[in-house]
Amino acid sequence: MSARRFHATLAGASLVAALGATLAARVAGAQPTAIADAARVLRGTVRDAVTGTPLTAARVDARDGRALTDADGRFAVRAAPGDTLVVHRVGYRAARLVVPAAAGQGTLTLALVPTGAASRVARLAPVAVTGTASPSDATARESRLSAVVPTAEARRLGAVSLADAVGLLPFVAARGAQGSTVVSMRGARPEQVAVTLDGVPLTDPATGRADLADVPLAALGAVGAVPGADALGAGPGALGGTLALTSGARPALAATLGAFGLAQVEGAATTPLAGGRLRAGGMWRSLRNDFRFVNRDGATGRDSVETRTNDDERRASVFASAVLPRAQLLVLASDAERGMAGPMNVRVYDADRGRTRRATVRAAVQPGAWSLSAALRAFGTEYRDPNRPTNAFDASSLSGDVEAARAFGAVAVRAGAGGDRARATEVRAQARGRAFAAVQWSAGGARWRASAGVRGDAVGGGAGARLSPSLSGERALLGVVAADDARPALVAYARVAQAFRAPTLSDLYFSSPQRIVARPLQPERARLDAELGLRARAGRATAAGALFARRTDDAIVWFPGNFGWSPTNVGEERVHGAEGRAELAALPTPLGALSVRGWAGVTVARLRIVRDDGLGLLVIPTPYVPQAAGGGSVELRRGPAFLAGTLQALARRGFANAPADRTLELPGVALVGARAGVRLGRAAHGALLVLAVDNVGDVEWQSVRRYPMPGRSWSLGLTLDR
Amino acid sequence: MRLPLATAAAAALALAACSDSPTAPTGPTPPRGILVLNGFGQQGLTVVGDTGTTTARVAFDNTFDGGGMEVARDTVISTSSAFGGNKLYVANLVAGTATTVQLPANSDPAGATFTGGLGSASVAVALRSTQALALVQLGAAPTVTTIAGVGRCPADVGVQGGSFWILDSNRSCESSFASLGDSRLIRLAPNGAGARDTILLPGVKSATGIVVVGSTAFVSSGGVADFSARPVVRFVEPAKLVKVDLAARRVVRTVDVAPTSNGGGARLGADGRLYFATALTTDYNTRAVFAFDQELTPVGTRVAGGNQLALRLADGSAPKCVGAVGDALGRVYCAVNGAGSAATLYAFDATGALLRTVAAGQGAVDVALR
Repeated sequence: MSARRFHATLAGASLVAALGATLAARVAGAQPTAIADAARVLRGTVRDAVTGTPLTAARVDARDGRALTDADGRFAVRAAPGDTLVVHRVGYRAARLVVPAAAGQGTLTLALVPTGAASRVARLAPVAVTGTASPSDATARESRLSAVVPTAEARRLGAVSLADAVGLLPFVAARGAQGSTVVSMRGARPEQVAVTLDGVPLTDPATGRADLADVPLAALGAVGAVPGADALGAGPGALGGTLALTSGARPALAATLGAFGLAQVEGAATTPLAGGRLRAGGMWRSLRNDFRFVNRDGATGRDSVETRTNDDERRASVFASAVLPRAQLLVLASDAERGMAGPMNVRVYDADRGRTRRATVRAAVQPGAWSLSAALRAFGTEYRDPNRPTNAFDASSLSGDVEAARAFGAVAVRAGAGGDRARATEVRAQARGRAFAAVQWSAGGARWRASAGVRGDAVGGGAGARLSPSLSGERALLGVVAADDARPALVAYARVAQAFRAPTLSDLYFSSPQRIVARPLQPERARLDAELGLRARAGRATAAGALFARRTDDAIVWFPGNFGWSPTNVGEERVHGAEGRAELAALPTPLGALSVRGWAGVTVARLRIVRDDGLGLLVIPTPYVPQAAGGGSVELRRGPAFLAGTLQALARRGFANAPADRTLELPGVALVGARAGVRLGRAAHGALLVLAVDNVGDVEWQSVRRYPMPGRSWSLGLTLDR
Repeated sequence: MRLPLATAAAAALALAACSDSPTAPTGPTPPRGILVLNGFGQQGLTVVGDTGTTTARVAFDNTFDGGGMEVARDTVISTSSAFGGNKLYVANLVAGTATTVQLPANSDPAGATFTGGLGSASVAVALRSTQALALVQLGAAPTVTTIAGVGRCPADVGVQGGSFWILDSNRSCESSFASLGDSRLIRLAPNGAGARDTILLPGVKSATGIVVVGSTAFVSSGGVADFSARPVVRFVEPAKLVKVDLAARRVVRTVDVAPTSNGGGARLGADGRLYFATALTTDYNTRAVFAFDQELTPVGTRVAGGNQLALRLADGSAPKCVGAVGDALGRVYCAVNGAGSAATLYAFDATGALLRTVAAGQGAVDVALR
């Protein structure tokens, strides 16, 4: 790519993406006639300056008219060199650009900075992320390791649910039992991983977790993993990392059939609305899931081959996203019923059922330079056992938040307030409020970036107030730091932060019967979360790696035990490790275009408990943190057809509240998948047919101890899109 | 249920008292060690010597979830519930090994006792969910037989006068564990046949343990707590201790362990006293140990204005004991779980002063003398 590049400047900033200026424009000249296919028709793409993802429904005003960006962020307006373009998008700072004289020689890329934050996680953007064939590293975040998998690519690799897509992400370990899927990053417990959809937290205040199975894949454009604490970007709770979901923009219709009675249909449609776009859709899924497994902990004392029963699920979800010139609305609701099969060695609970309902509504408006938003989240769950009607249990919670944000030059400020209310059978209603304020400053140039900020949170219910400062910087040792720059680059970065997480209402009130009353739980505080890394890009290859460490005081740990899981504050948790990923995109070979991606990480996570009376230190591996993990995919595309293989690997991981002991660890597991597919019709209006086989080796494994996972399975999916 | 231990202790005392050898012990003897049962975390037994801080471990497999143990002749028995695989654990303290015996599926074993050969068995186990009694003959190839229909929810079993005495907690143990009425003792012939005598225990709900000394049974109940307004908890019925004359088939006396108390059970010490560790406050953070003589009168060095033992840690605070027992020398041993369930065994003298502190693995649930 010997592109000529032009960085349009405003107020002297040479590169404004993520640096506090308002707009960057770049002309990449791979296609000499791409812009000026007519004398004054200017074509381009609008992207998020932080994530690099295309922005739909951004309004581009020119002297002779206006245009709205499509699902891929593309626009076309009539303009000439010297004309001024003004770009508006709710959730982003308005941008002005004088069309450069050389605009006729390439594709114009406009990068918008999110309003009020130099946040690493796009907070409002419904986006469609560019595919990995892009030579630039669109997944690179500022001063930290990160990765994004577009849902289109996830579907090609056989994903039919968000949980499947998350399984393709580097740096993420998914854990599932009883039909729910939660995630861990860098040894963090699921409660320490924030899950956001366009910046809206999806975490249930009652449980501190978000069930990924409730978010339809059709609602999404991309799934991102951002390991490490991010109090500024994702708020308190994100001690271990953030799973950042972004809304999709394309219409699609997908149907899937599969093993164990899987049947699923989902879709999304897009229509113009009041100068913007409305996208709405839904998902219905049914899974019988009565697979065979070997019961090695049976009540008879002998191994036996049994059929997992009462492990079925039925889910329905609806979503809608409207992006208007000055407002945005997001609605997500789900209803899931599933069997709550117990551990494989206990069959007396094989008839109990659980039902969960969730709803999230978020509205955002942009009066002037301010961005204002409000969100409501509702959660309800019920448990029924027909054989034990007295065990019936219901719980519900409601959360509300308001937030305001704006930027003052290189400084972005945010402030907000909210509250949670929860009730449950045999538990009196509990409520608590919270508020926060954050300020972040960013600066940089072509070869360096730096950011500093602090967030203050106050949480009711005795959780107190905490400040969470963060500091990060990066420097290009070769090339420039911009993530969407196609030139070879080697960038070194460092980040250090603090964060905290208040106990959830579940931590406090809904724990196991063994801990039947509320006991004091202090907020856990990551007094140090640091990483030091490198990222590189050259041609079609990108790579990144980091060393990381986290020290958490008063860690809140739900210890798996034979009496149930109960939370407690542990004096200190020390986590350190290394992880990295590498990707080679669309390398031409005689067989076709080859794409390879892989990741690996090692993590040491230890809880350090000082015994009473100075009797020494009790050191316990944090339960369910794999000592190593990795995965990847290999994809070969030739014309409309493709073949792919996937790998997910987990090393041994402890399951007990006990010192390291191999007898108290689940064995390592490597799961291999195979996919074959073909795209029918044109790329822009076609169908994708994918046959996927998971766990090809029919490996017997457990995600959570005594909860068997399915063996070899298959699915056949057909996706119509345009 | 602790007949062998009581007998051994009594025999040791009698032997010491009757001896005319100038070198023989002339008074109570110290225990051969103290045992801490670790029910979770590092499951197994922590064996603590009578002096020093050295410990030994007998590891159980990681499915163990027992909450109590019986000890006789260097053998320890305990059980795992339905969640723990319905197993009987037998630990050999001399060899430092443990074996398991599979009990009936979904039976949800609870209390176990040594039978002394009664019913052609070595060990009897109360099976809550199947409302049965398991008779286990230990050996190279253990055998298990069951006697069905021994109560609504058999929680423990004792041996007296050639009969089994089932402690029926009278709860819906197969579902919510809700109390269905007063608990009762049911006498059972060794083969389960013939007439069964029942002794009602008025006002005693959800009884959980039985200690048999001679023809007397001491029954423990952890009491009843109301959690319907959680997080506000109310103690409805306090923990109770009941003295029952098995020969006369009558209740001799019932006492409240403390006016507000919940949980725990009694263990017979080598001094003949009954030690009862329980929670005193509804947040379960304040715990205490009570000592009763066999007339159920509180004894020992107690705190001012209360009946609990005046046990004090080095910093002057009271230990949160999950189990306690006393030896023949008046010393009291108590196990405490700290952060991360790190367990500590504390030894106190007769006045409650701290003598010794020993790390005792993780997840302590019971304490006994070897």
